[in-house]
Amino acid sequence: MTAIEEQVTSAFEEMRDDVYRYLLTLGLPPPQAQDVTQEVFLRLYLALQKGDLIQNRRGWIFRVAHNLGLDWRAKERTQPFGPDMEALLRDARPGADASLIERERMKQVGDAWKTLSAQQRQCLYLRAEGLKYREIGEVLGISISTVREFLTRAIAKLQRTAYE
Amino acid sequence: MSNATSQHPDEATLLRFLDQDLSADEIRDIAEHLAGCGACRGELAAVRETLGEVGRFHETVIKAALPGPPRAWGRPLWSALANPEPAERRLIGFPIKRALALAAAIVVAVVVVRWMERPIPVSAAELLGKAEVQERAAPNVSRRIRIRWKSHSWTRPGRLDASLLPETDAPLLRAMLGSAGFDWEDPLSAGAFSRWRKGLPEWHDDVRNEGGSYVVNTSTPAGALSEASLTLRAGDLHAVSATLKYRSLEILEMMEVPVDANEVAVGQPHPPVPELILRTPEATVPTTGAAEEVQVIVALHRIGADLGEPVDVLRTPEGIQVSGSGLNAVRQEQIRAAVADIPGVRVAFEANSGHRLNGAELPPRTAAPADAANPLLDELRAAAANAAADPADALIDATDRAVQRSYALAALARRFPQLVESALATGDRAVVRHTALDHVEALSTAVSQMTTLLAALLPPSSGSAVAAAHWQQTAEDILVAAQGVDQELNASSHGDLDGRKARLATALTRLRSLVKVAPSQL
Repeated sequence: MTAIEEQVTSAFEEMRDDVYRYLLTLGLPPPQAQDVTQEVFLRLYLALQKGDLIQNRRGWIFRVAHNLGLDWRAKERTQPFGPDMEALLRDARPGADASLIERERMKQVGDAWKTLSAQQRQCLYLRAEGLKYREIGEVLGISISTVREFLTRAIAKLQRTAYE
Repeated sequence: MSNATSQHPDEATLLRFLDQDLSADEIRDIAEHLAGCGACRGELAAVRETLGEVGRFHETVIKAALPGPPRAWGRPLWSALANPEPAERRLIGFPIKRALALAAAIVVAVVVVRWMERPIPVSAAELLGKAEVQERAAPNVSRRIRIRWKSHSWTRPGRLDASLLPETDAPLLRAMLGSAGFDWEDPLSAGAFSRWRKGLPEWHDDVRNEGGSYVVNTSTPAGALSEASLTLRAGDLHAVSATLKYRSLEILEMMEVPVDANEVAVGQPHPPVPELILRTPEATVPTTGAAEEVQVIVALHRIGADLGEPVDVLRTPEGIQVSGSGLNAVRQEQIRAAVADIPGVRVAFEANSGHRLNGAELPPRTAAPADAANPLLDELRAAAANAAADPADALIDATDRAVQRSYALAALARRFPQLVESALATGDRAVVRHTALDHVEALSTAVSQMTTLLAALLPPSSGSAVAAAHWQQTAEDILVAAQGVDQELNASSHGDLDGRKARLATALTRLRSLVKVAPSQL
């Protein structure tokens, strides 16, 4: 295996599920999300082959995934995947082993989460996936100060729900 | 924040402090302030707690609620460009490559000799140039082409309107074409071929005249393709087919297909698996329902709902009934969407009935207790102590996939036993077999991974499976063999290890030979 192949293999194994899930949150149906995930790593391979320097691999991969995902959505005329996150959350709850208090709290977070804007949610999602503010901005195509603003407001909103 | 020591930092700043989105000076200022300000420390703790909750919400709620990938990941797509099957490459890839290169050289030599013997007055460049002029002068907008790569196939308009995109296979095929430097909009054309050819730093052309067509073949030492050929109809130089050979030895084919009168409308994307679902008229008679049943099974297969999920399909006089229990809302929605276009299908989900049908009553899979000691896996881990990935995990994963596919294949065989299958329309039968073949291919990948992983541990084992009369029986045999492998692999630590290894080797060899036989029956 060449060095590039090793890099892409480890990136694929490490990040394919994260990328796949992120594409689901963009509204791609699972089979397409899986295909686009494959394409993301193909792009990574081709970029490295071409000699492109990739400063932050994780940020780069999410950016390509984001762009390919939006391309797909723009071309696809059907409804976005899923009855969107609201319905998804209705069904989801922390595992049975979680304490009653934790489950109650997660429900509160979920309720507050529903009131956030799509971009605030995306910022939170990418932050939880370990991206830095600058990288989140690059993925979403917004400035770093907008990222800060979104995150501050989102956190403030979530924090308020704890005392209601 | 230069005066942070005297000012209370606001919430936004505290968040940035925690996320390290501040300069070193700012961080120092705030840290100093926090040291002397209990109120701000309290505020910081509150922000930190909220961030913790967000993190847990992300992990335990959001990520848990998203459905897993419908198919096993298998080999990454990019690796198809980089190299052929890794296992084979390591063992015998090099000699094969050399042999192929030699064979290719002989073919080229023969072709060149023949070409020299023929008085063909045109060069590739001239031919392509003329064909391009023809294409521009008389664009054939209504034609359809089929693109095939491995098991992926897509039939689409020859010239693609960018707004009509894509289907399941499209992104893969698009990526394959893109990586080769071929247009996506109009790939089967002299224009696309020419643009690829002109982008090469070095190339060799060869033109043959074959049965009323010109075949332009261009080989190159650079890029993803080692060679490509384009067939042009002699009369009007219209591009009718093309073959792209990747350096990884994989082949992508494109060919023109007749425009079908039954199609919805020219220029519309096809329904899934279009070339297979076209049926003979009698099959659409609503009383039979067999064709719809096939369509439903294929639709569920496409979203991976036939791999052990509690989904059942029942053919009744009123139509096809799809039911499931214990599925989350997202999955229910996906299943509804997958079968929405098939006439006469009713979908009903139970809240929680707890039993799993999956198309056929199959015995539940027994899983070994996760904590039981397994000397076989320990030995495997020890043998590969310095490998990056845990071979035992990889083995368990491959075995799981093999067992899962074996169940799905057996379920399909029981749903369409030989007699029922033979009563299906040709197209439907092809769809059923295509689905079965899909399972067999996935099985084959899993089994060869298991074989590679276990190679150093198991004693040599010979013997081959006797082919059953038909694929349905083979499917049953495969299930038994896969269960045998699974059992030996997961058996508790009692008993002699050598005996277990021998049994495992026999079971795995049997499974491998059955999986090898199966495609010929499909």
